[in-house]
Amino acid sequence: MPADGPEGPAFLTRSLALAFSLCAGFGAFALFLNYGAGDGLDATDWIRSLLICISTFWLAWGAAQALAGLTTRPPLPPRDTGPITARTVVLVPVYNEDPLATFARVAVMDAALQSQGLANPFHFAILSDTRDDQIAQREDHWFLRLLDKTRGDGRIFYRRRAANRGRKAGNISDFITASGAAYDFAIILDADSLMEADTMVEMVRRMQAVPDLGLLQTLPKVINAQSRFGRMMQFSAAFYSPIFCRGLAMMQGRTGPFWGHNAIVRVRAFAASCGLPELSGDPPFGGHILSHDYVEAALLARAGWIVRVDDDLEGSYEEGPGNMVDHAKRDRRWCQGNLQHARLLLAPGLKMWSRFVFLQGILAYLSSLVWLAFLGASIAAPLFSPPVDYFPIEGWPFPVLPPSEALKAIALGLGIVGLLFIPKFLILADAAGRGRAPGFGGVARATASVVGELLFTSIASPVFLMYQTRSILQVMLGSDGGWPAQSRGDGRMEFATAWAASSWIVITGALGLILTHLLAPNLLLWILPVAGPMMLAPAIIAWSSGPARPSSFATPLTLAPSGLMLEHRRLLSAWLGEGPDAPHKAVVRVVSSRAG
Amino acid sequence: MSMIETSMVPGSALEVHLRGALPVAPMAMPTQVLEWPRSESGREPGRFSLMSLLVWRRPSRAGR
Repeated sequence: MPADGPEGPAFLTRSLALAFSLCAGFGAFALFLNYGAGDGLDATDWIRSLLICISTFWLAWGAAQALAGLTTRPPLPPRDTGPITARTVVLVPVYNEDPLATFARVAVMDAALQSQGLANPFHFAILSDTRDDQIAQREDHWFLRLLDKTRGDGRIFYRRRAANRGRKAGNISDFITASGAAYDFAIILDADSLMEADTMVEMVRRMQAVPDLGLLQTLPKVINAQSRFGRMMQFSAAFYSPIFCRGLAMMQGRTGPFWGHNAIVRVRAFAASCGLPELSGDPPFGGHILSHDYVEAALLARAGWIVRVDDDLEGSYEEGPGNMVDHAKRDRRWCQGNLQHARLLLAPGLKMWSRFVFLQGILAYLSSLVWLAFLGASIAAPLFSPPVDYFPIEGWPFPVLPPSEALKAIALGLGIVGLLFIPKFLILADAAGRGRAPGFGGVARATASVVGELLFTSIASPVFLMYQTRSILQVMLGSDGGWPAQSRGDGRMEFATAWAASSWIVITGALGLILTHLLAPNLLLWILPVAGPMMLAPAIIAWSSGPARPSSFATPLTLAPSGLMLEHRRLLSAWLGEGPDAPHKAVVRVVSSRAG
Repeated sequence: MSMIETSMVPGSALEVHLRGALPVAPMAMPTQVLEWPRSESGREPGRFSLMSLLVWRRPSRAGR
């Protein structure tokens, strides 16, 4: 078992980030309490101050991560420059996915490895948990086509489980218990993942160089987005995420993250440390561990293995949801998984940072509830505050108006907005200064993309706030979200469908506005930026699911797609002319022609 | 040293079937302990007790 090493720089970065976030949280607490004291302190002032303290701490923590990413640089990781001696298997778990697109990805990744003379040390295993028999038949068909195309007998494997016990984590562990001893490393992908051959080789070199490195995570870039929403997410992932990821890399020490895919694991370490138990009790808090990746990272760290994310690793791709509703569905699953981690906060033997990561994941969702509680308490506050005394001085015949506290509220509001916006503008300035902006179409286009993304997220946030709140309440009331297959495709959503998915948000927004008008009319202007977008939710969802202009929200990969991406599109088009996939042609044609 | 080098030399015991059957090379994956053992009173000492306040549970019919 590997030994623990020093974590000095990580400890320092964590401490500074924590101090900054605590200062911001308590600053907001004090400012709001001061604001509330203007008309006399009551219970709602204390409650709201506490809620604003938690929310601000959480926002500041995100900002601190960006600041750490902007101001630091992790040391270059060691790499083995000798021959590749390890055997690596690339695992592609699938679950009711479109086999045509997935198997075409495997074909082009294998071809890229073959072109470097590295087909032998790399195998592929497609691990199907598909329950839909028709899709399974298509998997059979396209697997044979894949073998034919790649001459991959003995290198490319496919198996379908009879029962998908343990979901995705069970699928991986089923492979390891049956075939794990044949490999040193496993690169775990998702059905929509794509990875350059150079990246896979580089990951193996880094694993070979550090014998106690248990898991190495890449930061996947989102590709092939076609809708307005997808393009904005794609831009965010390409423009902001590397900086946030670098900040995370500086804080992680030996206990980095695992995001479930686009990562490489040392099979021996994973097998010895990551056999997941079923938690006692029923779902959603008991049963299978849903967000298994966080837990696996914590278990590897508990066993003394290094878990690391290398922000400099390029050539790792994934696709994202095409519209807000699909995003919310995926988020429902993540929400249940993260809240389930509450059961593991005090699990035996975990590193303190792993526990903190669980707490962060829980807070990421509970913060929605905290914001909503703050808004609710603010609307209800006039019911509890004492009447204003305009004649506080005995014998003085003229009314005394209480001092206006609006400036304090505005200062607090600006501070909170600043925590959200300033890191993004700092990242923009950094991109302009360090020559990263040309990859995004130049400084002017990158600025327009940042402003557009900020405007959209400001409008979309109240809608996501409601979806997240519903998810949290569903989980807390004991509802299990199950294991829905992920939606892929162009994500187009008509207004009627968007209305069906969000009418409850419209009604909630309208009720909130009416309630504010009745109880606290002076708060109408403050509530409008939240209630307004809620009432427009179907329009926002439908509009943002529409096709984006090809030039909008440019990223380096939309301006110049990699050879592997182009090869995947070419093969997808070629395979469309064959086999039983006629109904899918239209969708894939759109992908082929629009992406990029 | 790669594990495969010892087991996947030509003609070795590692079996690779035609048409994509996976290599037969079992590896143990012991189940990890993530929950504290229950005490005699039935309470798990390591369990996040706040959850019992937050989570609404349907009343059990067992006691009726």
